[in-house]
Amino acid sequence: MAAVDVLLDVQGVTVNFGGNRAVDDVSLPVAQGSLTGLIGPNGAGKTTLFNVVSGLLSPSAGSIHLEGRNISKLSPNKRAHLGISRTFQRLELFTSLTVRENIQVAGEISRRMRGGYSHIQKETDRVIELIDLGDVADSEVTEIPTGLARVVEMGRALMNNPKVLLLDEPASGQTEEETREFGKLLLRLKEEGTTIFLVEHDMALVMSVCDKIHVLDFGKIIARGEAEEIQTMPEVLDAYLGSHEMI
Amino acid sequence: MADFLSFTVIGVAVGAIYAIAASGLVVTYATSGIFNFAHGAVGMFAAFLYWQFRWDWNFPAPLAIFLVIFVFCPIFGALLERFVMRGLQNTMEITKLVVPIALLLLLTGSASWIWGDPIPETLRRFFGPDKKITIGDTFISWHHIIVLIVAVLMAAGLYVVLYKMRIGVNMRAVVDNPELTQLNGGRPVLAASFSWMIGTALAGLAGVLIGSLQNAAINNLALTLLIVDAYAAAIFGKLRSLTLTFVGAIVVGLSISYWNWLSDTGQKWTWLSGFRISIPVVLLVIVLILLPHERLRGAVVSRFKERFSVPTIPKAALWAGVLVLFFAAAVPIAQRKPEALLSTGLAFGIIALSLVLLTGYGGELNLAPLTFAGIGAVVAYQFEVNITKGHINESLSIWGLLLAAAVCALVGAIIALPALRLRGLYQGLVTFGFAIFVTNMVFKQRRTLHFNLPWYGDGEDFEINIFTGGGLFVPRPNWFGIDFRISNSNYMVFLAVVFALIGLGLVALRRSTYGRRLAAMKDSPAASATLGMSLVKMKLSVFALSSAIAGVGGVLYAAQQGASDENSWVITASLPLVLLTVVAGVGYVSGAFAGGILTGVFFVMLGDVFLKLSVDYSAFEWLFTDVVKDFFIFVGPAFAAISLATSPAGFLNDMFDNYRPLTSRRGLPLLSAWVVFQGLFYLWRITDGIGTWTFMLVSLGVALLLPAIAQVIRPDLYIDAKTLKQRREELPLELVGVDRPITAQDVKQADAALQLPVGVSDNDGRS
Amino acid sequence: MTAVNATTQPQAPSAQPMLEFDNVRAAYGSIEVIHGASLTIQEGSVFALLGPNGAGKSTMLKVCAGLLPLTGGEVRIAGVPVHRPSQVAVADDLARRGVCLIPEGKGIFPNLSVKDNLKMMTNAGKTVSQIEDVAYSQFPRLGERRRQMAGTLSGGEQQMLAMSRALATDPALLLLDELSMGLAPIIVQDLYQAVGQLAKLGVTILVVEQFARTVLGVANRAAIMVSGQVSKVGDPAELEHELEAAYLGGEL
Repeated sequence: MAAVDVLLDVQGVTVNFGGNRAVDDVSLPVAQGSLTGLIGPNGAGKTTLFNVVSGLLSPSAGSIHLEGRNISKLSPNKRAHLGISRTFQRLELFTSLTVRENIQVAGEISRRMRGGYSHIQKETDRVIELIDLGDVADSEVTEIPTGLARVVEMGRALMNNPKVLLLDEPASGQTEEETREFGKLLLRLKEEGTTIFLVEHDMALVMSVCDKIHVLDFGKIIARGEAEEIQTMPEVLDAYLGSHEMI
Repeated sequence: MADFLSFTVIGVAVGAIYAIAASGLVVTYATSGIFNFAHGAVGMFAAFLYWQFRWDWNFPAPLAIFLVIFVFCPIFGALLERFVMRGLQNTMEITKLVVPIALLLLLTGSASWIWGDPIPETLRRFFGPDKKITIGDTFISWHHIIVLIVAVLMAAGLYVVLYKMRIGVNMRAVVDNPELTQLNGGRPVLAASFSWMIGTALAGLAGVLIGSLQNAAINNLALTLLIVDAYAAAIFGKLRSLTLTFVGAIVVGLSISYWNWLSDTGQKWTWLSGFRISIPVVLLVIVLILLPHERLRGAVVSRFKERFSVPTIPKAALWAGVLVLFFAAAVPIAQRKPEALLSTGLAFGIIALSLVLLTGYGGELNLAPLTFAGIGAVVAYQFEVNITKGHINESLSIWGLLLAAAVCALVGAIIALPALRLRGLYQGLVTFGFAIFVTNMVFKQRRTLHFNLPWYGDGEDFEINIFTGGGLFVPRPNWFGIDFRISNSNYMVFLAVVFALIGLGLVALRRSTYGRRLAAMKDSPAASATLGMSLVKMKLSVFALSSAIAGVGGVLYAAQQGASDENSWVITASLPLVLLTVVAGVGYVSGAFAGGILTGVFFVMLGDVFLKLSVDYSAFEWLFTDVVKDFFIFVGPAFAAISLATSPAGFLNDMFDNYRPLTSRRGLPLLSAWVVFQGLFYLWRITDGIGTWTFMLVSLGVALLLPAIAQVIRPDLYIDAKTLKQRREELPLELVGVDRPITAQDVKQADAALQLPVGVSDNDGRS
Repeated sequence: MTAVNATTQPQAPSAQPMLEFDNVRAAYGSIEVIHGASLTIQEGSVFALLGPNGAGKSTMLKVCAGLLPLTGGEVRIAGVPVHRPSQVAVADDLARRGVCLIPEGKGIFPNLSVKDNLKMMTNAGKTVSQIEDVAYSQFPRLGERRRQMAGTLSGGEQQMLAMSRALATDPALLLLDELSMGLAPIIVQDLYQAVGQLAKLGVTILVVEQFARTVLGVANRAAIMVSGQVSKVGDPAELEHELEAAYLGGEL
């Protein structure tokens, strides 16, 4: 795995919860500048893997590397300094702040955001414009629909100026139209050079934007490849539909 | 050897009582998720009731025990579950913490109200104090033997109930998975009710046993805290495992007993005896720190979470001005006593500001603000007495105040260290244990400590005496050419200015970068960390800053009192302040003000009103003094907590909503009219046209009625809010309830739209 | 309210509807997950509810078992609305009246022994020995482990223990949520054999499965749910092809 263009490298990660093995020896490279997808049925261990990458959970085995450097021992905030940002499937917005303040405070927390107060203000405006939240910028985050709340989380993560952006089900709660727009936004971010690691249930979105897709089932990677390949792989169908040999 | 044996027996016996108390706590916590802070108070109340039956009315002991443990306690437990604890499901953590604290105050207050204050009651050992048996040369009192037998029986009984009976299986099932219990046809409500009955009975049993063990007079608070010692054992069992709880209880009991045995080498150090009674809380804190806890994880953003709006700085400045003006205006009319009370209230308010920063803005917990306040007072006293070698008439120096703030900040940061990994209940317990520790080790210190410091003085000893004479004296300041020592009025206005400045500072802080980061940490530690925040630094800083504020408040409070003793700073004094501040609204500076005034002034004033009534109507003196007045003083604060259930953001939030239209541009004429009226009315008072009471009552009445009056005179002011509401209600019918729960109002509207008769769906609209 | 009786009907589904979802809406907090779903399940039939993650299948079961209030519509069991009054049904009452939901993955009490788990089932009316007889004869491995904590059992044994409730409490309406989740095929076969037995006794069964092919053998009717709505009802075999489209983005 010495490839130069691997930005984030998950190596042999295993997570045990009590007796259950939620993630089982998962290795997964995320290439520089790529839009990498991670799919799988409910309970496959996708969010657990995100928690390991962002440092909220220590794995039982395995390591995480960013640009070749082993970051497994670093706390979540140190990893953020190095350029890992994430969103949460179960929303983790700052509910006492407005939409704008949510995004602004992310810049105030982040150490990757150089410059003073006015620079942060400018960056906040830029991100709000980028993710098209101008209409709700002064709303309370508790009053906006879930679909938009996920976009706020993404805006917040962008304020950390991330090298790699982990998105945990960003499209759930969005309408079809919103999802289509969201897909375009992801592609635009990718063009700007942000590496994106995407966990998503909306297959249409995953299939249309991701360069490379990994399929997780029972904590194990059962398949990887490009969208067209994945869709025809029998083991992927089995993971989603159950095995043919069963009955 | 003989000593060892008898100290072991005593230790195991005391441990057995802790085991009884702690297992009751575990049973209720496990089934309901509510940590009953009032567990100790329940035990105390039961013990006093036992005293009533056994020693006041001379019932036979078995009958008295039966009435208390098997009749009163279970009924009380069932009522508690039904009317208090059940309502706490799905509320935020601070509410779950505060309501049991209110219950604690209610019970200790009720005990004072019923049995008088501060008369301690004497509970005697079973079979008398002198009945003992002799093994070799070891004496063991019958009471200890009884305690051991009861503990074994209790353990056996608990085993049978929990493991052999279906209701017990149901109780354990609820702990594992309440939903699945229901799917099995089990009734979680019944299991909860039963577990509260058992838990309360166990608290009562422990209370009677430990109360009687003292064989001496013991007051309500001391007895409550004795049972609180058992909390360490429950935490050792992680509030789940009864076996570990038993082990923990015996360890606590033996530690105390052996410490007694080994340290009984003379009375040279009060610190040794202070440490003895601190052992349980020291163990509590150690267990809390060492036990593995869940790692920081993405907490679900609860939709029950309270929301506090933050005023703009100019608005806050306006309010700060109004506050100072108010107290300045009170100077000519307030008499001695109200002045002292208002000053106390303001000082409490300053201390409560530390809670606004820590809990309201930062989401961290401190149940013992007065402990930090006390530390501040002690430091200022040392500074004035020792370092400046001041005399009793010397005034408070700014350096003394700053030093107090600095020391408190340091202590606060140290306390934050163990609290770093903890949240909610466990964090509260650490501060609770810390408060008891500091009270025992520092505030109860009666000796002068001598230190020979090379750099200090000319070979004199550096002396530390804390409450040597039972109290400490902190002088008032003499600053800006104003001597606050002679004039109480000046000091009151001074306190108002300090409160206003710190309050304004807090609002500015909340509106700063730091304040937003604080809010972020409170709302989602996980998201804050993954954005690059160091939670350690953030928590340390907010604890330090908040403790410094409490310390400043403590110095000023001590200076207001003149001489204060240890009782001013104990945990049981802290709890009402925390409680009332949370009830008023811990997210607002005004909440701290209301909390302080309620704690320092309101209930005492109410008491005074009834005292006055009792003089005027002497026929009803017993009613006004012994019943009503005592009720308000002792029990009133606890009742205030009831409002918390209806308004989680505090009652001030709801109150302000009604005044808000008045501050709009169209409302200004009305507001000005009121200000002019109040001003003229005030002039009438200071020209002695009317008495103080009339002035106070009418002013207060008009102020409270102002929104209602406004609604009559200018209904259009209130239109805006209404139309907003209406606009929301004019959603297409099928979308109602999508974004929020369906209300009775929605149902009515749906009925109207569908032209249903009114009665039909009225039942359905109720939940 | 009338009791739901566990009648033993002949194998053929009778014409009477046992369970009806009538334009049902349900929400978690402010997020609505079922947007007006309607379904009719005939008495004595085995009905499979299929569909991708997050389609609202499990929520349908929860609503039906009284774990979740409705925000609209009506659920009727044997013709009687279960959410009365004020859209709330009480799960323990329904359980005692013969509605049996085996929830996904957490159908047992991990810190209770196997025997205590079975004891919990007595809340619905049977005695401990009756339940033990059925459970241990159907799944002998449970009998060997009766003193063990249920949480220490293997995944398959745990699911057997959970299924014991369906077998031993004689339910009128059985709701199964993702029975095969995380289990080896051989065990899944065992479990579905038990489901087949119950079906033969005439118990009305509603099965939710993410793994559609698994239930095709036992179900005689099926529906697909997508995004909180029932998109198709039909013969299980017919629906398989549609499922692939629903799961993997519809580009097949």
